[in-house]
Amino acid sequence: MPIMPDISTHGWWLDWSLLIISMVTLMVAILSFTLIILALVNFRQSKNPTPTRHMSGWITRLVILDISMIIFDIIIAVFSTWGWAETILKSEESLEAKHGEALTVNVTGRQFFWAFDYAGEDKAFGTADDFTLGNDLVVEKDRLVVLNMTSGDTIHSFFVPHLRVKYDVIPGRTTRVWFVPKEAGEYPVLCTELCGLGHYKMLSNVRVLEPDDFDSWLDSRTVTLSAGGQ
Amino acid sequence: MAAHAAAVHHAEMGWIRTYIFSTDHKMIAKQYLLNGLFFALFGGIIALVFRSHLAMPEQELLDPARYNAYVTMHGTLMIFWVAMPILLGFFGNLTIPLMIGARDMAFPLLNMMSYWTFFISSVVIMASFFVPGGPFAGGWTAYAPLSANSELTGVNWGINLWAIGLALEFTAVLMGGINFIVTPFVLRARGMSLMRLPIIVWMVVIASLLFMMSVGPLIAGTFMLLFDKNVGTHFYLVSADKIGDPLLWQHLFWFFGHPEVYVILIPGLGVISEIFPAAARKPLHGYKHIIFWTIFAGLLSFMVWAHHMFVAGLNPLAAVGFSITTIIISVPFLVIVVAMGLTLWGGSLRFNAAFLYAFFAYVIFIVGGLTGLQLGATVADIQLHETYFVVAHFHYVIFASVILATFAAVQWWFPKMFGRLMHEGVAKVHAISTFLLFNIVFTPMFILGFAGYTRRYASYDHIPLLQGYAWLNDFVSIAGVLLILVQFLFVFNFFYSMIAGKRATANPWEATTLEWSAPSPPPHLNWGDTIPVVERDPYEYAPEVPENGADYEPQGRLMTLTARD
Repeated sequence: MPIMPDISTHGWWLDWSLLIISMVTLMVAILSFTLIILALVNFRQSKNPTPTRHMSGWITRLVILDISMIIFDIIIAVFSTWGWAETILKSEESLEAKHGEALTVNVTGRQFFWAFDYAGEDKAFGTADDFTLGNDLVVEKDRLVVLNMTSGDTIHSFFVPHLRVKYDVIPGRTTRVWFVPKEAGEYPVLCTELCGLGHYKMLSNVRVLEPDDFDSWLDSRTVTLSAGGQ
Repeated sequence: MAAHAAAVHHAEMGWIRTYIFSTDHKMIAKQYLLNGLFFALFGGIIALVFRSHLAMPEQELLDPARYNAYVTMHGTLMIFWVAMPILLGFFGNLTIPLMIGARDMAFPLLNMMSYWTFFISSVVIMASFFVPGGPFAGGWTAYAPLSANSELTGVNWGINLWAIGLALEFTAVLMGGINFIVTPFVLRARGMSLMRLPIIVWMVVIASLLFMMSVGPLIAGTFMLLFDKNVGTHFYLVSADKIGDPLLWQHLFWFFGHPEVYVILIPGLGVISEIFPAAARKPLHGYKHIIFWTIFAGLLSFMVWAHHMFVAGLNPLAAVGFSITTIIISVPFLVIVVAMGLTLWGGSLRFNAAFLYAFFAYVIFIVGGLTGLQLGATVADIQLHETYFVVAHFHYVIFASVILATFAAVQWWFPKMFGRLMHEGVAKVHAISTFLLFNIVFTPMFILGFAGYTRRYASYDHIPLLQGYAWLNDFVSIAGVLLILVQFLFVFNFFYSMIAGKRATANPWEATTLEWSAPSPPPHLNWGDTIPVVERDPYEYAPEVPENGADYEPQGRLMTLTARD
């Protein structure tokens, strides 16, 4: 699969639903193209000069196909709705009950960069120890991250292929995404909603740090800030 | 009927009334076709330019702003100035009166106005290439605020002309649509019951109804966009006190946009179902199933629009409902596709060029339909939304119904337009090379979509993540350029055959429907001193008791008009 390796806890919902649907549609495609090629070969004029006006057999009963398609549809709908409920629809309370306290970051998309606002040591926004990072989201491995996103100008979309996260960022509204990264490393963020001439350059990255590294990083931020404040 | 008889013998009309301001449905069909084909070529060349830019960004063929503008105009022109005029304007005008046995449309003057309004809209959209700032660059979906604030893209007049052109184009299609709906209901020949109408007529009627029911909100939305941009209102732009919502535009656009997909899909399916029975020499399988399931799909298409907005900030619970309706819509199309396949099964297939075009359209549409399921499933769509997977998916759907079905229709009905046949050999080479190159271009895009290639990027070279598939994207660009170049085969064939093609008899394909009873090309008012009377269903191939020794029975026969008629 050309798809990026998954480093999130919820990503397998996406990957499995993609895989299952792709496999089934591939099977349907192979079956139908086989039948179509058979029809072309067997029923060309030179091979079959007299057409059969009335056809019989189960394949002509369209209702059988209806029912099999409906069953297939129900499987897709149930699986994808279940996946949706386990990813996008999860409430923050139930997520925190499962994964522990969240790291909340406020995200603002602008032409053509991302700003990430951290609450700092006291975990409250609007206080003196808040700080902002440009185009660099630093998070802790195995810790729930909740992003509250809004836009300063036009619509952007926050897409991290490895984290299986994509959601639009809209002026005048706040949208929320969450993820729990499982592996440390640096992962790119792409903007996936056309936002102007610099759209293709609106890149950022997510740095997933080991818990110890994250703590020392956060300390260093606080030290720099208080040093700047004195 | 006395009025009809009198109308037949009216005076010869002047050159301007015959070729320019004509009320003859066949001439209007040709005008729509030529106008649409011009934009198809133009839109294709735009794609050639921006794909060349992607293949070699270091050459700087386009700056990023121009790149966005070209991508936007490619989509805009292909949907609104190619698909709409050809699939409704051309198919509807050429086929409806001839196939139902009428002399012209119900409102010929309105029909003429429809084309000339469309022509004005074409001039307006073309003018946007020449204004300062260039054409609109906010994507063909024109999401606000990008489209409602000229500071965000640096395009000012381009947006105004885009919106005005679109509103004019919608007006033109509305005027044409009234004709397409009214004519089959009031001007059918004697014996032509509704369940004897050829399938393409049904399809154009259904498409016109869908268009009329869905376009109102978008026309209003387009004007709201113009007000936001030029007058300072806040429908979509968020003001300081939080009035205005960008999502309103997306709702208005897609409430129109999804039925619109079927508006430009259904007539294409109609062409395929016209050509398949004649090529297979047996009746269309499941005529009524196709009609009723198409109506069902059309109604359902009003309830699926937010599947374009699963991750757009819509209430996530709503996405579940829209996902389910989207998945359900696979059922009608499965039935339609299977009915078409069963039409071929057991037949005696004649591989003429029109059949090849229709058959390739059929195959490509199956892939397009199936790949809609990945996108319709909410959770899978998160990863694929706005990637090349989407681009590949909708090209598989639209290329089939708009481009290939148009080639099929032109090849098929060319005798009824120009009295000549298009060259079969050139058409076959064109059909096969187009089909192969199309798949070579767009199948890799599914893979690129999985790999994270986001749409509408002016360059991918600076993104390390995507470099693993850079070669594939370059390959797509090169094949895409070839795909556009082979289209000149069609252009050559079209004009060459128009002037020097083989003269066509009235019924070169031995087809059954009424238009093949008229001479090639039919005269003004179609039927001369006769009038058709319909005696049987539209696709009576391989009759059990052949009456005339042929393997088909024409749907009707021509009766000479008497004084009493």
